[in-house]
This record gives sequence, structure tokens and C-alpha cells, in this order.
Amino acid sequence: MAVVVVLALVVGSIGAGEPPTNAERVVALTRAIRCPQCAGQSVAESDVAVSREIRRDIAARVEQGQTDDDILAYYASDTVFGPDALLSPPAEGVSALVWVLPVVVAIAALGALALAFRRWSGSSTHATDDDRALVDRALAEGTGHDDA
Amino acid sequence: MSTPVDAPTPGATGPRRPVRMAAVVVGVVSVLLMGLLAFEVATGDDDGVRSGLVGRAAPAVVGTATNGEAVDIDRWRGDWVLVNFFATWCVPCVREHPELVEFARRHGAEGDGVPVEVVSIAFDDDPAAVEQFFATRGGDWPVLVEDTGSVALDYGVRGVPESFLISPAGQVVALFYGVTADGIDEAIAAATSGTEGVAG
Repeated sequence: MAVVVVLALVVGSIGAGEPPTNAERVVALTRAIRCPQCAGQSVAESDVAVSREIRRDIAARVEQGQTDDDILAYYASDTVFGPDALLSPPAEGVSALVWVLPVVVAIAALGALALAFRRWSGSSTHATDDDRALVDRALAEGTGHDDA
Repeated sequence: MSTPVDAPTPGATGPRRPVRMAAVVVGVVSVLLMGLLAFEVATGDDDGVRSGLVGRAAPAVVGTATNGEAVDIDRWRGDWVLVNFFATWCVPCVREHPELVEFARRHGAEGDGVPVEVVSIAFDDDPAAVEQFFATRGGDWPVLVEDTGSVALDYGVRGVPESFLISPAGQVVALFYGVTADGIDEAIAAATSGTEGVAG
């Protein structure tokens, strides 16, 4: 199991150091921006006019050398489409709860499980000397039983 | 007397209570935080009327109109400017067009003298269709057709029609989703009298 985990980490990290191509950046950016006219779709998925225009604009900005942060900041600015333009909420303000809550709940759940396991393993009954004497007497009576 | 084997060991109920309490506390806090998040989303600043640009300097509009005229709304500083994003394939745009014609007529050379400029910006449209549209329905103000996507994005246009009323000082004072001549005049009057910018 450990070997599998290590292998998975190695395979997953291969290529992580290579910078994405412009085309890959455009794809990633269009998937990160919400279609302004649609319900929950990214501009990558939507074919309405404004989404087509945004895709064209993103490609042009990437070619111009703008960074991903600059491009996302432009679309999320108050004068364009606002913070809701991003499909992933920013990790600041109240929106940070979206990122924090799942981690908190997961940690709390693991902690509760750990406590529960500890309680289960600690609840075994310890025999007293009297209990042992009782068992010894029962065994002695049992061996003296006539099997015929 | 020995302790029965199946009796609970002393203190066995002790750890159970803190664990239960911790679970309850985590659950209540999580529900409260999720409720807070939902409340923030529900009371967000976007109940169908985006006003991010109202009150701010109008983004540039520069281009060549279909009639060859060079357009730069900064050269119209001192006049009221209506920047109208539309498309010939857009039904509400067709519906509002007569209102734009009326608005331009009211304030034109034979109108009331209020200095007004109108510029229409075609969004994702065909130049020939745009020319035909204006030839059929009237309107003699500049119309931009080529390379208008970036301008539309700078104005945060989500769909057409959207029109922005810009004050003589170059500030966006109102956003319209479909205009009426009276509605634009009311917005001008409101802005002139100092009432806060409206969105219609």
C-alpha cells in the first residue's frame, strides 16, 4: 500500500514542474470564469455570445503576456463582472468559509473517529482475582467430570 | 463478590459525554457558518441589476463608425453620452430602438438644446446586418461594429441590450437593460439634481 502511494505521488508530480502552454492556460482560465448569462456554466462550456467573446479576449490577453492573476482580476473587478465571475470563490472574507469549512469538518470527523476508537479499545473488561478463581474452579470441576 | 463481566467498567460513560458534546458543537458551528455563507450569497449585491460601473469613470470607447467617423467618447466631454450596446439579432434591442430614435430627436439640432450624444456598439454582429438595421429603422448617430468585444467587456456587458448614461464629467450615472426616451431623461434629471445614480 505504501509503495502504491509513493508511486502515485511520483507519477502525479512528474510534469508538475513544466509550465503550461498558452493553450493550456486559456483552457484553464475559461474553465475558471463563470458565463455571465448562464447558471453555473463556465465560459468554456457556454456558447452564448458573451462567453465566446470572453474566450477570444482571454486568448488575446494570454498572447499579450498577461498573467493568469491579472486576467482573473480583470474579470472579477467591480467594473466588469465582479467577484462572482470566478467559479472558485476567493479565499478571503466570508467566501473563505467555502475553503475552510470542509477542512474543519474533516478534521473534526477524524478526531471524533479517533476518540471513538480509543473508547472502544479501552472498554474491554479486566478480570479480577475473584473472576479468575471462579474460572479455575469451573475448569477443575469440568476435568473431574465422568465422560462415560 | 466479583464485578459481573458484562457490567460497564468504571468511567466508561465518562469519555462518551465529551465526545458527544464535541460532535454537537462542531455540528452547530458548521451549520451556523454555512448559514452565514448562504446569507451573504443571498443578500449579495447582484439582484439582477449590476451597478459596479455606476459612479465610476466611463471606460474608453474608441473606434471607427460605420459611416467612417472616428469615435472617441472622451471628445464628447461636456455632453451627456448614451453608450448603447445592441445586436440586430436581439429582440429587446429591436423593441428599444424607436426609443433611442426619439431620445436623439428630442435633444438633437431641433430639440431642446440639451447636449446629448448617442453611440451604438454592435455586439457579436454582422456589419452588413447592422447597416441594414439602421437604414430600415432610422437613427443617425455613430455605430461601431468592428472589434467591439473588448469595449463590451470593459463595460461588463453580459448581454444585449445594455446602455450606459455618462455624465458631462465622464462618469457613468445609470445603467439600462432596455431604454425608453423618458427613462433616459429621468435619469439625466435625477443626476442633474444630485440624486444618486440609478439603474433601470
